[in-house]
Amino acid sequence: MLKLTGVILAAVAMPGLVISVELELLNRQKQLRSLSVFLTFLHNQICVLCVPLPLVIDAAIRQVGSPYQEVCRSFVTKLEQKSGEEVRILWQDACRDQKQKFVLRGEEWMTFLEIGDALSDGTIGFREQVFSLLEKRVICLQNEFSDSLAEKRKITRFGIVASGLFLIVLLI
Amino acid sequence: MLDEQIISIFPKQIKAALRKAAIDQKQLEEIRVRVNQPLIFMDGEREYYIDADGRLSFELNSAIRVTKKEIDEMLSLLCQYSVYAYEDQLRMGYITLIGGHRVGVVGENMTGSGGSFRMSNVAYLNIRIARQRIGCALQLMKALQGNDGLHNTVLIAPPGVGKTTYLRDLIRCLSTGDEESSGMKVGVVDERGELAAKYQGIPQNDLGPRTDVLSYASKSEGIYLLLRSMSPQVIAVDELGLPEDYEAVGRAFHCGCKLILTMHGSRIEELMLNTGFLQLKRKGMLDRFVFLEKDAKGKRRASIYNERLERIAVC
Repeated sequence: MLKLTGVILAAVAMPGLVISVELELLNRQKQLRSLSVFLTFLHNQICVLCVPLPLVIDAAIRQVGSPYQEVCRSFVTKLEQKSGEEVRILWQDACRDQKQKFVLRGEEWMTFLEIGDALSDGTIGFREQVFSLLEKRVICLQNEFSDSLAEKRKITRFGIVASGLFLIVLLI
Repeated sequence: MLDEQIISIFPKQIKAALRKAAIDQKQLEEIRVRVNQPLIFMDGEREYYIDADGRLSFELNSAIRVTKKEIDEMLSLLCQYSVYAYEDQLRMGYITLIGGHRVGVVGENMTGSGGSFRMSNVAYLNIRIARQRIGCALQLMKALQGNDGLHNTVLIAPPGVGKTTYLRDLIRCLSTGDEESSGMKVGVVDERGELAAKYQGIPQNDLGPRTDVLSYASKSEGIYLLLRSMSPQVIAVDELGLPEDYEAVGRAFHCGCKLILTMHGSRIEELMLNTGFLQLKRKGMLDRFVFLEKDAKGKRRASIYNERLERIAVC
């Protein structure tokens, strides 16, 4: 009876796990895409239109979805407190406050944190350069991720199904 | 107590002291911030200081001093962390706060490639407390009305007497109107942003309900633009100087606009050396000349002269 229960649980968990991993991969792809849109928006508002930073972030809150919206809200609150802290640090703190909502990893997450460098002190020229660099990097990361997505999916599915079947065999 | 808009641009430690300090903003004219020097409050001819606990004092030794780091922080707060967005104002040498208060900014001016401007190593700030004197030009306004309506007028005075203050109130009076005359459409070229004192595009001073303000444009370009697009009945310009300014004013006159202008000067003889002024006068474009003076007690007096430079009134 126990074995039967184990077999059923393993059989049910397998597709559940596969779906969960698929969703995370899709979510990561979506967040990368949103990051690209967010960067372009900031670039235009700051370097082209020269809108003051609090207004840029207020507008960004209306443009972007979760979890970028929550980061912007947290950042605006920190700006309004006028603590005297550097803008770069305030941005990084706001990002870390919402880290659990992001599935971005490694260099993707670092790129997001580095937006703080473009928001802090500097000439328009400097900010242009930083934004351009970040936008190019995000495009590369998106391409890498898209290229490896199919393989990641295959490996993940195979891994989960194989583990599940192995467990079932053990139980039987 | 100081307005929160002024306190909010100071760093934390000074902010705390300012919130405790019993400063009468109605009397305050300027707050001077200089690197590694005491924070000075100027009230007419008198200056005073505050210590770290917010107590007012006339002793320089006990005064709070402002460090370079604190001035950098103030600039960041002034520009809402966006110095790039305030380049136009910094080029003029000041930034306007909510409430119309103006903060003069002085440091090292650098012009980058492509003409981009950067102010670096800011070490001196001068916070000028705005105080629009509503009604100060009411008497003057009455004296400038004739049978054919408003006389084309130039206000003349040396710096610091109040030309801009009077001009601002004249604009407001003309735009608002009264029981005897309806309000007029006034076009204002506010080259240095002093008249309207805009904060994020919104005038902080009351210039009346029928006034259109073009800020941070040259007077000549601004006058042409207003004539083309805003159909003003009156053109108001502060501190005429360049030859093209006088030309543009002439153009406005020929378009049928009334003129309210200001110029630097203290005596008629000085103005007679000004070619642009002479041209306007010879062509009959100016009807009234108002000389503003300030006595030792700070009281202002306006002497009004007609087109023949005969004094006709004093107020």
